[in-house]
Amino acid sequence: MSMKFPSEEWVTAFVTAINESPEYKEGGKPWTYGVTALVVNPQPEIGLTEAYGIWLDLHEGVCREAHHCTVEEAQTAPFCIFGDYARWKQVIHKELEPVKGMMQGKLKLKGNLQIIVRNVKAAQALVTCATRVPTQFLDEP
Amino acid sequence: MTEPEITVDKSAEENGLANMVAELLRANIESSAHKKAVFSRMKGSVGLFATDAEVKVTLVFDRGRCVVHDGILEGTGVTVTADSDSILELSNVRLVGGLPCYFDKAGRAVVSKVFGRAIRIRGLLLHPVTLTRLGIVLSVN
Repeated sequence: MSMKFPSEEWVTAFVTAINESPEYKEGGKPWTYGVTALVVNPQPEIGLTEAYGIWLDLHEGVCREAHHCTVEEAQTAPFCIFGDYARWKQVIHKELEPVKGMMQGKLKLKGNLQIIVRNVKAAQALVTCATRVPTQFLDEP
Repeated sequence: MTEPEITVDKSAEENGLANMVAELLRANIESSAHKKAVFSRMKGSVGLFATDAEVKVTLVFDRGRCVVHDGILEGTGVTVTADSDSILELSNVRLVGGLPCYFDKAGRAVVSKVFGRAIRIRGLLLHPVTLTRLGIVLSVN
């Protein structure tokens, strides 16, 4: 069954995908830098009237906790990545690598870039987990 | 020594790579007296072209100052062309004795890409000092 993105059930399925992923267990092992929040920017024409935040408490290759959060809460996380709906859709479809997206200005990072550069493999493994979640997109029938 | 100044030119405000490079430079220089000293000696220009992201920037260094421009400026001495992941890998090269180390895993990966032409460097032989200094100030390690 496909999960609507973004939604609480999608977040739950994402956490399961992360914690069942041998690639993330390995690639995410060095990650001890705290919460990463993902923010989908609002897009009222597809029903996303407010920004949708996803709070991911990642630590040493495991997602300890995750929940939907407001953009204000997301901005309190040590790392916060912002992007439009179409960009996150490309990420989930594995059409947009996070690093490439940041270089193109399609994804914006708030947080210590030095740590992200050192841990780029963890970010890539996290994206791979997102691609494994059966996803129903808001702009698709 | 005057305080280092790193700015993103107006032309590059929407360029993600330009903002990333500027942020990395600021963070690296702030956290290391050695990198700050090397930065203050740099003069010349270096182009970076992330091929998969189709993003280009030029870093113009002038003894303690750096302006990051959109695109490759005419007369740029050194240009590094590679995909976005490889550009980031350049920042992961460790410094040993204050110099980039190309004998460990991360360093060998970069050298291998240079020989395999996955990373192409124009001006490598004419501007070895500039390139070495760039490796130092961009290293996150």
